[in-house]
Amino acid sequence: MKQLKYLFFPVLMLVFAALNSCENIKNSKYITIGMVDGWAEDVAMTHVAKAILDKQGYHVIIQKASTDMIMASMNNEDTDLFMGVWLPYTHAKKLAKFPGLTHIGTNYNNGRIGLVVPEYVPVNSIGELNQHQEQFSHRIIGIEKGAGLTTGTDKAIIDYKLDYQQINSSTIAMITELQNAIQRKQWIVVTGWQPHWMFGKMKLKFLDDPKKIFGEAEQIKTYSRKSFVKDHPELAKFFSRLHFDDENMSDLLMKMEQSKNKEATAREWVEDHSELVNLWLDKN
Amino acid sequence: MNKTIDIGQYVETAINWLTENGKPVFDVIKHLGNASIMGIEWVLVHTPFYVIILFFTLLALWKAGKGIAVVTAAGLSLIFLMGLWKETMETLALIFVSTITALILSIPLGILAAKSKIADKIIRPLLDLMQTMPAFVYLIPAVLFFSIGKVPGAFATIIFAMPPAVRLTTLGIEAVPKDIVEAARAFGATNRQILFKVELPLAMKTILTGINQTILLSLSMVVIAGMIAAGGLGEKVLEGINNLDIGLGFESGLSVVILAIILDRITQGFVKKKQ
Repeated sequence: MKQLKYLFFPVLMLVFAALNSCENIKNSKYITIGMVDGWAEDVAMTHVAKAILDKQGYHVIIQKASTDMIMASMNNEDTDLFMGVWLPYTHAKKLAKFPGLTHIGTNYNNGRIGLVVPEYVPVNSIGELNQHQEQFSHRIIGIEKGAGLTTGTDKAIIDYKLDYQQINSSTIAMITELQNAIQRKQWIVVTGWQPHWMFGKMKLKFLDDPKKIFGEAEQIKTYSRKSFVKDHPELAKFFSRLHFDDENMSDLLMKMEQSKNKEATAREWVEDHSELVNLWLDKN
Repeated sequence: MNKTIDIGQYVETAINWLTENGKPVFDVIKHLGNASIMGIEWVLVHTPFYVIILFFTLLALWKAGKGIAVVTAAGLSLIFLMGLWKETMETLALIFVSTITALILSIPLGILAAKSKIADKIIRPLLDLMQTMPAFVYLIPAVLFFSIGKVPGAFATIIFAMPPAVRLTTLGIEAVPKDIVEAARAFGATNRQILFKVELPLAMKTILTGINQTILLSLSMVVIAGMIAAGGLGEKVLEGINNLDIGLGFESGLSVVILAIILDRITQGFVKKKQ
């Protein structure tokens, strides 16, 4: 009798495993979308997709992790989707590492990355930065180490022969630094991208990039794991139709930025844009 | 800085080889791990909160005295009132599975290291490596093996939390007075009987201290595991950080502290009872 207690846990686990596998066979309606917390546009679009699909009877689980982690997980055929792939420049190198990813749609056309300064700073091009190192205290405030934008900025420092150091911590630290500098009317140069709510909240401008280190317009795309299209043809079709124009995107980002509850805000946004959503769902 | 020695490439090759060839094994572990974590989570989330608070309060009262029981009841109620109950239960499920798995692996290793000089020489530097390698580094192989989610979170947590249990098990068994072991042997006890009837009971207090350390290390790692979609309080802490939400960051951090205090005092209570 005493020996039985050692069997308790293994048996319990097996029962759970059995329950779980039944659940999975019954329920292929579980969809996982990877999301990078802190990327405003990715967070906003992912929540909108979740709001739409939850209404269609799917069960969407958002998995928060970093870009490469999400891509590795999709490459293993586990995570279903990622809506924040920036091409042709920012994520091209990262994507090359993971051959098992499939492109299924473009969410947005006018993405842009580069160096950003507040509007009151009288500098308009990356080439002019070297005349003002002192005002900027030799620093470019960057985001995470390892981000595509960070790599691009390192390249810009070399190609433009900038006497600057890129300071990397996190996206949110960069935005905090920027907000503090603007409050004190100080000079600051950061790495930034559009679409992002910081452009709605603060008066900012991109510095011209005559050497095209940061490329031209970027597209934001949805990628899926390899067999997703085969497993969910109807969803692949939906994601191929899902697309935001500039107006919709900036409206969504502003609402998300002011929101306390992103899921509720996304649901409201979906209600308010039912025509557009029906177009994506091919229901008109 | 130019690379003259590229150790990283060998590690990378090894990890990639494992990822390619270990897939069936990893998939089984992934399913079992997911099932057990999700199962325990399901039970914890679906049990009414007052039942769980009552359970922990009684456990604290029994093992750690009145003061801690009051702290437990108040702390858990506060977590519930802050609206972080579900996340706390997710974290608890992850800690539970990680700790149990870590102990299943580490106690036999600890016994082995106490019994065999050679094993001790191999295990000790490995433990040093596991304990001092920055915890974030474990996230890389964890994701390559198990994708993102709860299982890689548990995997990284287990590696991080194992060493103290191994070390303290070894220490406990080595500290058993030799004359007691001799006396047992004189009465004709087998090796097995000596281990289970003499050494382990006498070393139990030290082993329980190791278990206590393992639980606390799991808790600290669970937050880092939030970076790979392991959910729970870790994800809430990171959400606070990523959105500059001071309130959310503090509340989820506070919940982690409350959980740590409760688990620490209750397991310490088990140690004290052994005296």
